[in-house]
Amino acid sequence: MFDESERGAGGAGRAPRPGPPPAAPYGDEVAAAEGVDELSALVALLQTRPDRITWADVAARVLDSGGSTSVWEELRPQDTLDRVGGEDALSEARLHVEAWRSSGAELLSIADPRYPHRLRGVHQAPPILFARGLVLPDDEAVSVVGSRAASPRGLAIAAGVAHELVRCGLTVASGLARGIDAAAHRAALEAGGRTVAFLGTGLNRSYPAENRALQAQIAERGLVLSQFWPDAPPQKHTFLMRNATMSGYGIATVVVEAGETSGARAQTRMAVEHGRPVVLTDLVVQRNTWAQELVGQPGVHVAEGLGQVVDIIDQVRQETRAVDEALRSLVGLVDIL
Amino acid sequence: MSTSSDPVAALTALRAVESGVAREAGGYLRNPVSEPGLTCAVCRRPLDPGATALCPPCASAERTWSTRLSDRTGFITYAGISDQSTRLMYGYKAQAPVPEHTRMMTLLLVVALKAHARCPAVLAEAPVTRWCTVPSLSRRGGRHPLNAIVSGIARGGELRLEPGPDVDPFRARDIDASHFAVPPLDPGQHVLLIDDTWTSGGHAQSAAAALKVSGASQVSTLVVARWLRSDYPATAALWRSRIATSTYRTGTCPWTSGGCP
Repeated sequence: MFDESERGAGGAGRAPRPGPPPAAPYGDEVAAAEGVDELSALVALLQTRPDRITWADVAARVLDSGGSTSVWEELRPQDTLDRVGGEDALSEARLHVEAWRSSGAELLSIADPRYPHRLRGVHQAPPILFARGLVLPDDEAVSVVGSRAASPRGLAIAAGVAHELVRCGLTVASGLARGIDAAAHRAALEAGGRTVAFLGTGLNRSYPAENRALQAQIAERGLVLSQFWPDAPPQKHTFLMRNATMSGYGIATVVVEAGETSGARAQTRMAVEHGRPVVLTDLVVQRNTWAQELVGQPGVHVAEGLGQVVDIIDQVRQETRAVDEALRSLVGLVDIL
Repeated sequence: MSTSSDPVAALTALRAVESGVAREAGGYLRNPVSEPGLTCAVCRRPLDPGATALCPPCASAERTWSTRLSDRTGFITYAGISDQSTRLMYGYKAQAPVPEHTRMMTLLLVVALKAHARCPAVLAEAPVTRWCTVPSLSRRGGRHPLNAIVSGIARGGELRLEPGPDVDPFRARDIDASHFAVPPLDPGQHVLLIDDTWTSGGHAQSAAAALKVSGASQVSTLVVARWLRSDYPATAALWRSRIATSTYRTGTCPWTSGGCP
């Protein structure tokens, strides 16, 4: 069982990340910031939504063609007299992009080589991300999620897990909500680690307001990400959307304490669908039928203590490396004839 | 390093790849179902009540092209009906590539081609002698990512198909042997034809017909994903009642949708 005394003694700086980071697929382009033209075309697409295209379809089209400009050229609205229109929308989008950038926000389109690589692979990957802080495309993060109305024990477990993840050289991802999320972010910062906050609002908002200072701290020492327009207010569905983004960003999700109708439950379902491992604490399994039903599904693990959470995450990373090695040993050697 | 000379190491590596597929994609891949009367014997699409063996497009193809179609078909997964499987099939060939999707396609093809290398030969009672991938009829030039993956996996024996001249884009999905050009082929070959997705089967069956017209004696067609549409009532019903809730098994033979022949 989870017990506060198990909390890791780490925190003396970060362990080095094992192994070199994987090669960036775009080579030297990685360092270059995305051009304002690409971003303006993307913002124009999302603001005008020609043919009522959905954000998910914009994301898919932009990925498919490798950039936003060609998609905009293809879909831009026609104005009267059948002339190619949309110039106003494009200029307006450019003004927005410039204003957002000058306010200190970084904008990433899904085709940008710096867009988080794992996130790009999931079907809910947002077409655009707004960022404050340090963007690391190959960030190795684990989500720590759970209820807003957390018990003292739940909060202690969240802090302990975050601490341990930092000790293993991993980034702690969470949703900047009250309760488990805030505890995980705070513990990661205290341990001197990296933490990434996924907002259910725009970058210029703080929800709940009590976490405003924490949000600023994370932007300074980690990364704050939002998939919504910078002034967008919180809405019920925006929290579920950011859970999908968080699941896609990380290598795994740890559910610390959760109820029957929580965002953590939704994130668990999404992580299973994404093929990202989920670690449920025994606390979650004991108290929730949805969690009991998930046990045994591919990639769903149950941890009975802090040490087990770390062991499972470690095992997951080793398994991924083992698959890559096995693949390398087989490629080029298969006799199919 | 070389696993070809060490069958035990190769088998261990293959098991590691299989368990990787189950862990990383078991949440969104689904094994195709092959049951007489329930799914089409050629393409595994769920059948309308009352249909006997083939779905309407496969039945129509059979009437027109009969022995010039694929002699057998294998499918690795259903896709298109769930969002994440759809994403995989687009992502691996997107212009802004998704490395994770290229990796998963490679894992899936390694398992199908290595663990089930002999299955089409057993079914045909003739060894596979050449392989090819189906080229795109609409792609913007350059090598098709499927061909790049399979060439990386397979040693030798490729037969390179090219798109035929003057394919009418509006008829690209029809079955027509002239849609693909086949290099000169010795008679009596058993060709393993590989494609990424099967929607109506037009591309793969046109390629099979082109191979047969050029003298291939057997064509075994391996498709990564049978694309399903949820707006067909029979498909939606079987998906809900059975496929969506099933667990993906990497040991299932793509050729039989059950045990290996």
